[in-house]
Amino acid sequence: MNEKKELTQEDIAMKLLFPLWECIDSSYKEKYKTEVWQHFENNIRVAAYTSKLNYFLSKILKLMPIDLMAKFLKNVNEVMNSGDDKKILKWLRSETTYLVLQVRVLRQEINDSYKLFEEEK
Amino acid sequence: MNEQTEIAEDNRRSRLNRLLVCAGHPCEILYGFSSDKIYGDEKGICRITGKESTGLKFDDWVKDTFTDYASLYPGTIISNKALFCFEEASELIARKVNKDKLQRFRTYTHIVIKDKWFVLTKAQKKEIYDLIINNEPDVCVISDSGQRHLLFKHKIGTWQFEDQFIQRDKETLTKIKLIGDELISNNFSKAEMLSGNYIQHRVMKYGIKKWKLAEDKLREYRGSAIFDLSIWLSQKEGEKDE
Repeated sequence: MNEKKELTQEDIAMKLLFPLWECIDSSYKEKYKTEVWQHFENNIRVAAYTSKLNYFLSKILKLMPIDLMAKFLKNVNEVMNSGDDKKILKWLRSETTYLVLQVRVLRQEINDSYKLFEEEK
Repeated sequence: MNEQTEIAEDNRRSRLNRLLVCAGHPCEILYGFSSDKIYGDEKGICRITGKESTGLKFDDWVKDTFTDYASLYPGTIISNKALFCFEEASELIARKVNKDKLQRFRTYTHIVIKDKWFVLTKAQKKEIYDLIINNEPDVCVISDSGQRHLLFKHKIGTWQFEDQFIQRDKETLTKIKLIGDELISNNFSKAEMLSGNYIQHRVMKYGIKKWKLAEDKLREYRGSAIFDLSIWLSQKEGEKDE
């Protein structure tokens, strides 16, 4: 039987927000180095004031210079097609800080392991 | 204390107790602590207490800046009892807070417990919390801005925080305040707690999981009057009142 797995807040952070973060134009990240995470959080919250996840996606793509890479599409589509638009949009509005921080921690972990790898080389 | 002062004090206490029992209006309770100051002798119905009394003609007394007409009773005067609580240069308040200059009534938090009247500043949060949590105040008007007259619209039996009347719920107040104390001790601001919008690096420093637990509890109450009061009363660990 093909049972559909319910998405958690952590899944939303990893499968939707992490790809969005990773695909923000690097010059934008450089330009707003100190406040880019806060920009990201605020824009996620703003874009989530809608009724459908695909409206959210097009809104966030307009608000920030994001060019979604093909390697992330599978995960993003999984969230987009989950059918839980109402619940996920509510999380994106009211749990924004928590969700974005999950992404931030993951990014930090990747950076740290990359640094460690470079040092060991 | 000599015999005469003792008698005078006893009289004052019994008069006050009578007032506390039968008075329906906070201005009447507070006036019980005064030396029965007379501001005027115009007879009529007081627009503040709604009772027949003597004082000043309301229209002569009221300023253009007064906008709280919705809280008034129909009438023609403002009674001496009410005028006492609108004083802008009170010698009695100055004495109570140990100030040289005459003080405004509206600047302070007023709490009456049995026959004791506490006049506190907004810096005395711990004292305010202790008073309301360990007693059942007859009057409890907590002022934050100190800009508006609050006492005249107080509803006995509630905690009044600025313009908000709060159903007394010591358990909830303490529950929220403890979380507020913990977060404030870890450098979160009251504005963050009130709005629910936190600075990310503070959350990371504190620990995301720990913060999430606290925030989930706060979220249940955000937007309610008791939440605003509890967060206002929150203080850093070990922080002392002025």
